[in-house]
Amino acid sequence: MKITLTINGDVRDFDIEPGKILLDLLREAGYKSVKDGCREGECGACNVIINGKTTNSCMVLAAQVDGADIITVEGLGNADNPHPIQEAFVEAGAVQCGFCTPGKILSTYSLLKKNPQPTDSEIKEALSGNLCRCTGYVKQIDAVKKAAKKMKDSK
Amino acid sequence: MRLVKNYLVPESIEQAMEMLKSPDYKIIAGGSKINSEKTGEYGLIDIRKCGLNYIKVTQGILHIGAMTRISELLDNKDFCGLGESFVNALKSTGHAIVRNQITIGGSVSSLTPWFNLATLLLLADANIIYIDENNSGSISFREYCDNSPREFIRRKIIKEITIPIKKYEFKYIRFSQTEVDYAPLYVACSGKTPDSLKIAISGCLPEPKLFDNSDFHISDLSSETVEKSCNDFIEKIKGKVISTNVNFSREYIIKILPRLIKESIMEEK
Repeated sequence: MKITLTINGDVRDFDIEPGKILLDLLREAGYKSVKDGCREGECGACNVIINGKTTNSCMVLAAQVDGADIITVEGLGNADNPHPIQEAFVEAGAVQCGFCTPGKILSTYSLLKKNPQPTDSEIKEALSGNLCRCTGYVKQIDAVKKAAKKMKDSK
Repeated sequence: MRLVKNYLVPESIEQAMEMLKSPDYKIIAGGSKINSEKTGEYGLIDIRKCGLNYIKVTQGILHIGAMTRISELLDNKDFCGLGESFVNALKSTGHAIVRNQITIGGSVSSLTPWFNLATLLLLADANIIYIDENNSGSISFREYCDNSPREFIRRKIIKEITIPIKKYEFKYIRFSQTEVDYAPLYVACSGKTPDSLKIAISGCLPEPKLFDNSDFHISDLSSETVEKSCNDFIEKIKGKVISTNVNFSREYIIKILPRLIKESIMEEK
Protein backbone atom coordinates (compact mmCIF):
# COMPACT_ATOMS: atom_id res chain seq x y z
CA MET A 1 0.00 0.00 0.00
CA LYS A 2 1.13 3.56 -0.65
CA ILE A 3 1.50 6.13 2.12
CA THR A 4 2.86 9.66 2.35
CA LEU A 5 4.68 11.01 5.38
CA THR A 6 6.17 14.40 6.10
CA ILE A 7 9.42 13.63 7.91
CA ASN A 8 11.33 16.58 9.34
CA GLY A 9 9.59 18.79 6.79
CA ASP A 10 10.30 16.58 3.76
CA VAL A 11 7.30 15.01 2.04
CA ARG A 12 8.13 11.38 1.27
CA ASP A 13 6.14 8.59 -0.42
CA PHE A 14 6.49 4.96 0.57
CA ASP A 15 5.15 1.70 -0.80
CA ILE A 16 4.83 -0.61 2.19
CA GLU A 17 3.50 -3.94 3.39
CA PRO A 18 0.45 -3.30 5.64
CA GLY A 19 2.20 -4.87 8.64
CA LYS A 20 5.28 -2.66 8.42
CA ILE A 21 5.97 -0.88 11.69
CA LEU A 22 6.99 2.76 11.61
CA LEU A 23 10.27 2.08 13.42
CA ASP A 24 11.50 -0.18 10.63
CA LEU A 25 10.33 2.17 7.92
CA LEU A 26 12.15 5.13 9.45
CA ARG A 27 15.40 3.28 10.01
CA GLU A 28 15.37 1.78 6.51
CA ALA A 29 14.72 5.27 5.15
CA GLY A 30 17.89 6.50 6.85
CA TYR A 31 16.62 8.00 10.11
CA LYS A 32 19.05 6.09 12.30
CA SER A 33 18.46 8.26 15.36
CA VAL A 34 15.30 6.21 15.81
CA LYS A 35 16.68 3.36 17.90
CA ASP A 36 15.51 -0.24 17.79
CA GLY A 37 15.23 -1.15 21.49
CA CYS A 38 12.53 -3.29 23.05
CA ARG A 39 10.02 -3.25 20.16
CA GLU A 40 7.14 -3.41 22.66
CA GLY A 41 6.61 0.17 23.79
CA GLU A 42 8.55 -0.02 27.03
CA CYS A 43 11.91 1.69 26.50
CA GLY A 44 11.15 4.82 24.44
CA ALA A 45 14.35 4.55 22.37
CA CYS A 46 12.29 4.59 19.16
CA ASN A 47 10.30 7.63 20.26
CA VAL A 48 9.40 10.08 17.48
CA ILE A 49 6.98 13.00 17.39
CA ILE A 50 3.87 12.28 15.33
CA ASN A 51 1.55 15.23 14.73
CA GLY A 52 3.00 16.95 17.79
CA LYS A 53 2.78 13.95 20.16
CA THR A 54 5.64 11.74 21.31
CA THR A 55 4.96 8.18 20.20
CA ASN A 56 6.82 4.88 20.27
CA SER A 57 7.40 4.11 16.60
CA CYS A 58 7.70 0.39 17.39
CA MET A 59 4.05 0.36 18.46
CA VAL A 60 2.68 2.07 15.38
CA LEU A 61 2.06 0.59 11.99
CA ALA A 62 3.34 2.85 9.24
CA ALA A 63 -0.11 2.58 7.67
CA GLN A 64 -1.63 4.12 10.81
CA VAL A 65 0.21 7.40 10.28
CA ASP A 66 -0.38 7.93 6.57
CA GLY A 67 -0.43 11.71 6.04
CA ALA A 68 1.23 12.50 9.37
CA ASP A 69 3.93 14.99 10.29
CA ILE A 70 6.86 13.21 11.89
CA ILE A 71 9.87 14.68 13.66
CA THR A 72 12.99 12.69 14.44
CA VAL A 73 16.14 14.02 16.09
CA GLU A 74 17.64 14.56 12.62
CA GLY A 75 14.99 17.25 12.21
CA LEU A 76 16.07 19.14 15.32
CA GLY A 77 19.78 19.57 14.78
CA ASN A 78 23.09 17.92 13.98
CA ALA A 79 26.69 17.95 15.17
CA ASP A 80 27.44 21.18 13.30
CA ASN A 81 24.26 22.93 14.26
CA PRO A 82 22.84 21.34 17.42
CA HIS A 83 19.49 22.19 18.92
CA PRO A 84 19.71 23.84 22.38
CA ILE A 85 18.31 20.63 23.89
CA GLN A 86 21.11 18.62 22.30
CA GLU A 87 23.66 21.14 23.60
CA ALA A 88 22.17 20.95 27.07
CA PHE A 89 22.35 17.15 27.19
CA VAL A 90 26.05 17.27 26.23
CA GLU A 91 26.88 20.08 28.66
CA ALA A 92 25.06 18.40 31.55
CA GLY A 93 26.87 15.11 30.95
CA ALA A 94 23.53 13.44 30.37
CA VAL A 95 24.83 11.20 27.61
CA GLN A 96 26.85 8.05 28.15
CA CYS A 97 26.21 5.26 25.64
CA GLY A 98 23.73 7.51 23.84
CA PHE A 99 21.21 4.83 22.89
CA CYS A 100 18.30 6.36 24.80
CA THR A 101 19.32 9.95 24.06
CA PRO A 102 17.33 10.62 20.85
CA GLY A 103 14.14 9.48 22.55
CA LYS A 104 14.85 11.66 25.57
CA ILE A 105 15.68 14.66 23.39
CA LEU A 106 12.32 14.34 21.65
CA SER A 107 10.40 13.89 24.92
CA THR A 108 12.17 17.00 26.19
CA TYR A 109 11.31 18.89 23.00
CA SER A 110 7.62 17.99 23.39
CA LEU A 111 7.62 18.91 27.06
CA LEU A 112 9.27 22.31 26.60
CA LYS A 113 7.02 23.18 23.73
CA LYS A 114 3.99 22.67 25.95
CA ASN A 115 5.54 23.75 29.23
CA PRO A 116 8.66 25.99 28.90
CA GLN A 117 9.45 25.96 32.62
CA PRO A 118 8.68 22.51 33.97
CA THR A 119 9.15 21.44 37.57
CA ASP A 120 11.26 18.42 38.49
CA SER A 121 8.16 16.29 38.83
CA GLU A 122 6.84 17.41 35.44
CA ILE A 123 10.21 16.53 33.90
CA LYS A 124 10.18 13.08 35.51
CA GLU A 125 6.65 12.56 34.27
CA ALA A 126 7.55 13.62 30.71
CA LEU A 127 10.58 11.32 30.63
CA SER A 128 8.76 8.41 32.28
CA GLY A 129 8.53 6.54 28.99
CA ASN A 130 12.26 6.77 28.25
CA LEU A 131 14.38 4.19 30.02
CA CYS A 132 18.12 4.69 30.53
CA ARG A 133 20.37 1.89 31.72
CA CYS A 134 23.76 3.58 32.01
CA THR A 135 23.77 7.35 32.59
CA GLY A 136 21.14 7.46 35.32
CA TYR A 137 18.43 10.06 35.50
CA VAL A 138 19.82 12.89 37.63
CA LYS A 139 21.94 14.46 34.92
CA GLN A 140 19.14 14.05 32.42
CA ILE A 141 16.81 16.05 34.61
CA ASP A 142 19.56 18.67 34.93
CA ALA A 143 19.85 18.67 31.15
CA VAL A 144 16.15 19.35 30.67
CA LYS A 145 16.33 22.30 33.09
CA LYS A 146 19.41 23.59 31.29
CA ALA A 147 17.63 23.22 27.95
CA ALA A 148 14.63 25.13 29.28
CA LYS A 149 16.90 27.99 30.29
CA LYS A 150 18.73 27.98 26.95
CA MET A 151 15.48 28.08 25.02
CA LYS A 152 14.12 30.85 27.21
CA ASP A 153 17.33 32.90 26.85
CA SER A 154 17.39 32.45 23.09
CA LYS A 155 13.94 34.07 22.69
CA MET B 1 6.80 -6.56 10.52
CA ARG B 2 3.44 -7.61 11.93
CA LEU B 3 1.27 -10.25 10.31
CA VAL B 4 -1.32 -8.00 8.74
CA LYS B 5 -2.84 -9.20 5.49
CA ASN B 6 -4.66 -5.98 4.61
CA TYR B 7 -5.20 -2.51 6.03
CA LEU B 8 -8.41 -0.59 5.44
CA VAL B 9 -9.22 3.00 6.38
CA PRO B 10 -12.97 3.63 6.17
CA GLU B 11 -14.29 7.19 6.04
CA SER B 12 -17.40 6.47 8.14
CA ILE B 13 -18.71 4.08 10.78
CA GLU B 14 -21.12 2.63 8.22
CA GLN B 15 -18.24 1.77 5.91
CA ALA B 16 -16.32 0.31 8.84
CA MET B 17 -19.30 -1.89 9.80
CA GLU B 18 -19.50 -3.17 6.24
CA MET B 19 -15.81 -4.05 6.29
CA LEU B 20 -16.22 -5.74 9.67
CA LYS B 21 -18.51 -8.33 8.11
CA SER B 22 -15.36 -10.12 6.91
CA PRO B 23 -14.69 -12.57 9.73
CA ASP B 24 -10.91 -12.24 9.75
CA TYR B 25 -10.87 -8.45 10.07
CA LYS B 26 -10.66 -6.51 13.29
CA ILE B 27 -10.72 -2.92 14.40
CA ILE B 28 -7.53 -1.05 15.20
CA ALA B 29 -7.90 2.01 17.43
CA GLY B 30 -4.68 3.32 19.04
CA GLY B 31 -2.94 0.06 18.23
CA SER B 32 -1.01 -0.37 21.47
CA LYS B 33 -2.57 -3.80 22.05
CA ILE B 34 -2.79 -5.13 18.49
CA ASN B 35 0.67 -3.91 17.58
CA SER B 36 2.22 -5.80 20.46
CA GLU B 37 0.72 -9.09 19.30
CA LYS B 38 3.35 -11.31 17.77
CA THR B 39 1.15 -13.80 15.96
CA GLY B 40 -2.04 -13.97 13.97
CA GLU B 41 -2.68 -12.92 10.39
CA TYR B 42 -5.73 -10.74 9.90
CA GLY B 43 -6.96 -7.61 8.21
CA LEU B 44 -7.17 -4.36 10.13
CA ILE B 45 -9.83 -1.67 9.93
CA ASP B 46 -8.44 1.67 11.06
CA ILE B 47 -11.29 3.85 12.34
CA ARG B 48 -9.31 7.08 12.77
CA LYS B 49 -11.32 8.83 10.04
CA CYS B 50 -14.73 7.84 11.43
CA GLY B 51 -15.18 10.94 13.58
CA LEU B 52 -14.82 9.20 16.93
CA ASN B 53 -12.26 11.54 18.49
CA TYR B 54 -14.21 13.95 20.70
CA ILE B 55 -15.04 14.83 24.28
CA LYS B 56 -18.30 16.69 24.81
CA VAL B 57 -20.93 17.33 27.46
CA THR B 58 -24.66 17.17 26.81
CA GLN B 59 -27.35 17.25 29.49
CA GLY B 60 -25.02 16.40 32.32
CA ILE B 61 -23.37 13.49 30.53
CA LEU B 62 -19.74 13.35 29.46
CA HIS B 63 -19.39 11.72 26.03
CA ILE B 64 -15.94 10.37 25.22
CA GLY B 65 -15.45 9.29 21.60
CA ALA B 66 -13.83 5.88 21.26
CA MET B 67 -10.72 7.24 19.52
CA THR B 68 -9.97 9.75 22.29
CA ARG B 69 -6.46 9.26 23.64
CA ILE B 70 -5.69 8.98 27.34
CA SER B 71 -3.47 12.08 27.09
CA GLU B 72 -6.37 14.04 25.57
CA LEU B 73 -8.61 13.08 28.48
CA LEU B 74 -5.97 14.34 30.90
CA ASP B 75 -6.02 17.71 29.11
CA ASN B 76 -9.81 17.96 29.33
CA LYS B 77 -11.29 19.95 32.21
CA ASP B 78 -14.65 18.18 32.15
CA PHE B 79 -12.99 14.80 32.50
CA CYS B 80 -10.62 16.01 35.21
CA GLY B 81 -13.65 17.52 36.98
CA LEU B 82 -14.90 13.97 37.64
CA GLY B 83 -12.53 13.87 40.57
CA GLU B 84 -9.03 13.12 41.75
CA SER B 85 -9.44 9.35 41.40
CA PHE B 86 -10.07 9.69 37.66
CA VAL B 87 -7.04 11.92 37.17
CA ASN B 88 -4.80 9.65 39.23
CA ALA B 89 -5.95 6.60 37.31
CA LEU B 90 -5.08 8.19 33.99
CA LYS B 91 -1.81 9.70 35.15
CA SER B 92 -0.55 6.26 36.05
CA THR B 93 -1.72 4.58 32.84
CA GLY B 94 1.40 3.20 31.18
CA HIS B 95 3.79 6.11 30.78
CA ALA B 96 3.82 9.56 29.21
CA ILE B 97 4.57 8.33 25.67
CA VAL B 98 2.12 5.46 25.52
CA ARG B 99 -0.70 7.66 26.84
CA ASN B 100 -0.49 9.51 23.52
CA GLN B 101 -1.41 6.26 21.80
CA ILE B 102 -3.87 4.38 24.04
CA THR B 103 -7.52 5.17 23.27
CA ILE B 104 -10.51 4.81 25.57
CA GLY B 105 -12.36 2.66 23.01
CA GLY B 106 -9.40 0.33 22.52
CA SER B 107 -9.00 -0.01 26.28
CA VAL B 108 -12.67 -0.84 26.79
CA SER B 109 -12.77 -3.37 23.97
CA SER B 110 -9.58 -5.19 24.93
CA LEU B 111 -10.02 -4.82 28.73
CA THR B 112 -6.33 -5.36 29.30
CA PRO B 113 -5.56 -6.07 32.97
CA TRP B 114 -3.72 -2.73 33.20
CA PHE B 115 -6.70 -0.63 32.10
CA ASN B 116 -6.53 1.72 35.09
CA LEU B 117 -9.89 3.38 34.54
CA ALA B 118 -11.97 0.19 34.64
CA THR B 119 -12.83 0.21 38.34
CA LEU B 120 -13.91 3.85 38.18
CA LEU B 121 -16.10 3.29 35.11
CA LEU B 122 -17.84 0.52 37.06
CA LEU B 123 -18.47 2.72 40.09
CA ALA B 124 -19.59 5.72 38.01
CA ASP B 125 -22.25 3.75 36.09
CA ALA B 126 -20.55 4.45 32.78
CA ASN B 127 -22.20 3.26 29.58
CA ILE B 128 -20.85 2.02 26.29
CA ILE B 129 -22.54 3.24 23.12
CA TYR B 130 -21.81 0.86 20.27
CA ILE B 131 -22.71 0.30 16.65
CA ASP B 132 -23.59 -3.10 15.29
CA GLU B 133 -25.08 -4.26 12.03
CA ASN B 134 -28.59 -3.50 13.27
CA ASN B 135 -27.84 0.09 14.30
CA SER B 136 -26.65 1.52 17.58
CA GLY B 137 -27.10 0.28 21.10
CA SER B 138 -26.06 0.90 24.66
CA ILE B 139 -24.86 -1.30 27.48
CA SER B 140 -23.69 -0.41 30.96
CA PHE B 141 -20.00 -0.97 31.55
CA ARG B 142 -20.92 -3.27 34.41
CA GLU B 143 -23.18 -5.45 32.29
CA TYR B 144 -20.55 -5.50 29.57
CA CYS B 145 -17.85 -6.70 31.99
CA ASP B 146 -20.17 -9.34 33.45
CA ASN B 147 -21.13 -10.95 30.14
CA SER B 148 -18.20 -12.21 28.08
CA PRO B 149 -17.19 -8.72 26.93
CA ARG B 150 -14.66 -9.71 24.30
CA GLU B 151 -17.22 -11.95 22.63
CA PHE B 152 -19.91 -9.26 22.89
CA ILE B 153 -17.81 -6.62 21.20
CA ARG B 154 -16.32 -8.81 18.46
CA ARG B 155 -18.60 -7.68 15.60
CA LYS B 156 -19.36 -4.24 17.00
CA ILE B 157 -17.67 -0.86 17.01
CA ILE B 158 -17.52 1.13 20.22
CA LYS B 159 -18.71 4.64 19.44
CA GLU B 160 -18.33 6.33 22.80
CA ILE B 161 -18.22 5.95 26.56
CA THR B 162 -20.63 8.07 28.59
CA ILE B 163 -20.20 9.07 32.23
CA PRO B 164 -22.70 11.09 34.27
CA ILE B 165 -21.01 14.39 35.16
CA LYS B 166 -20.45 14.92 38.86
CA LYS B 167 -17.60 15.11 41.29
CA TYR B 168 -17.00 11.53 42.34
CA GLU B 169 -15.33 10.87 45.66
CA PHE B 170 -14.07 7.39 45.06
CA LYS B 171 -11.24 5.85 46.96
CA TYR B 172 -8.87 4.46 44.34
CA ILE B 173 -5.92 2.20 45.05
CA ARG B 174 -3.45 1.12 42.42
CA PHE B 175 -1.14 -1.59 43.70
CA SER B 176 2.24 -1.41 42.04
CA GLN B 177 5.93 -1.09 42.77
CA THR B 178 6.31 2.14 40.83
CA GLU B 179 4.28 5.16 39.80
CA VAL B 180 4.14 4.32 36.11
CA ASP B 181 4.43 0.55 36.03
CA TYR B 182 1.63 -1.67 34.79
CA ALA B 183 -0.12 -2.59 38.02
CA PRO B 184 -1.54 -6.05 38.74
CA LEU B 185 -4.32 -4.84 40.97
CA TYR B 186 -6.75 -1.95 41.19
CA VAL B 187 -9.38 -1.46 43.89
CA ALA B 188 -11.90 1.38 44.01
CA CYS B 189 -14.64 1.98 46.54
CA SER B 190 -17.67 4.20 46.99
CA GLY B 191 -20.41 4.43 49.61
CA LYS B 192 -20.50 5.70 53.14
CA THR B 193 -22.59 2.99 54.80
CA PRO B 194 -22.53 -0.83 54.52
CA ASP B 195 -25.73 -0.76 52.45
CA SER B 196 -24.38 1.73 49.93
CA LEU B 197 -20.95 0.15 49.70
CA LYS B 198 -19.65 -0.63 46.21
CA ILE B 199 -16.24 -2.06 45.50
CA ALA B 200 -14.71 -2.53 42.06
CA ILE B 201 -11.71 -4.74 41.47
CA SER B 202 -9.69 -5.13 38.29
CA GLY B 203 -6.29 -6.27 37.10
CA CYS B 204 -6.26 -9.56 38.97
CA LEU B 205 -9.63 -10.89 37.74
CA PRO B 206 -10.35 -12.07 34.19
CA GLU B 207 -12.58 -9.00 33.78
CA PRO B 208 -13.16 -5.93 35.98
CA LYS B 209 -15.91 -6.65 38.49
CA LEU B 210 -18.22 -4.60 40.70
CA PHE B 211 -19.25 -5.96 44.09
CA ASP B 212 -21.64 -4.63 46.72
CA ASN B 213 -22.47 -5.54 50.27
CA SER B 214 -24.46 -8.59 49.20
CA ASP B 215 -21.01 -9.99 48.35
CA PHE B 216 -19.30 -8.71 51.50
CA HIS B 217 -21.98 -8.96 54.20
CA ILE B 218 -20.49 -6.17 56.28
CA SER B 219 -22.80 -5.43 59.19
CA ASP B 220 -20.91 -2.47 60.58
CA LEU B 221 -17.81 -0.53 59.67
CA SER B 222 -15.64 -1.48 62.59
CA SER B 223 -12.15 -2.55 61.64
CA GLU B 224 -12.62 -6.11 62.90
CA THR B 225 -15.90 -6.66 61.03
CA VAL B 226 -14.53 -5.28 57.79
CA GLU B 227 -11.39 -7.35 58.06
CA LYS B 228 -13.29 -10.57 58.64
CA SER B 229 -15.70 -9.82 55.78
CA CYS B 230 -12.84 -9.09 53.40
CA ASN B 231 -11.09 -12.32 54.29
CA ASP B 232 -14.32 -14.30 53.86
CA PHE B 233 -14.89 -12.58 50.54
CA ILE B 234 -11.44 -13.52 49.23
CA GLU B 235 -12.05 -17.16 50.17
CA LYS B 236 -15.08 -17.07 47.87
CA ILE B 237 -13.40 -15.44 44.86
CA LYS B 238 -9.81 -16.60 45.07
CA GLY B 239 -10.37 -19.28 42.43
CA LYS B 240 -10.96 -16.49 39.95
CA VAL B 241 -7.85 -14.50 40.79
CA ILE B 242 -5.25 -14.64 38.06
CA SER B 243 -1.62 -13.53 38.15
CA THR B 244 -0.90 -10.83 35.64
CA ASN B 245 2.42 -9.34 36.58
CA VAL B 246 5.91 -10.77 36.81
CA ASN B 247 6.51 -8.84 40.02
CA PHE B 248 3.64 -10.36 42.01
CA SER B 249 2.56 -13.99 42.19
CA ARG B 250 -1.08 -15.07 42.29
CA GLU B 251 -0.60 -16.19 45.90
CA TYR B 252 0.72 -12.77 46.86
CA ILE B 253 -2.20 -11.03 45.16
CA ILE B 254 -4.65 -13.23 47.10
CA LYS B 255 -2.82 -12.32 50.31
CA ILE B 256 -2.73 -8.58 49.67
CA LEU B 257 -6.20 -8.14 48.16
CA PRO B 258 -8.27 -8.27 51.40
CA ARG B 259 -5.94 -5.71 52.99
CA LEU B 260 -6.38 -3.33 50.07
CA ILE B 261 -10.16 -3.78 50.05
CA LYS B 262 -10.24 -3.08 53.77
CA GLU B 263 -8.10 0.02 53.26
CA SER B 264 -10.39 1.25 50.51
CA ILE B 265 -13.45 0.81 52.73
CA MET B 266 -12.04 2.17 55.96
CA GLU B 267 -10.38 5.30 54.58
CA GLU B 268 -13.54 6.22 52.72
CA LYS B 269 -15.50 6.59 55.94
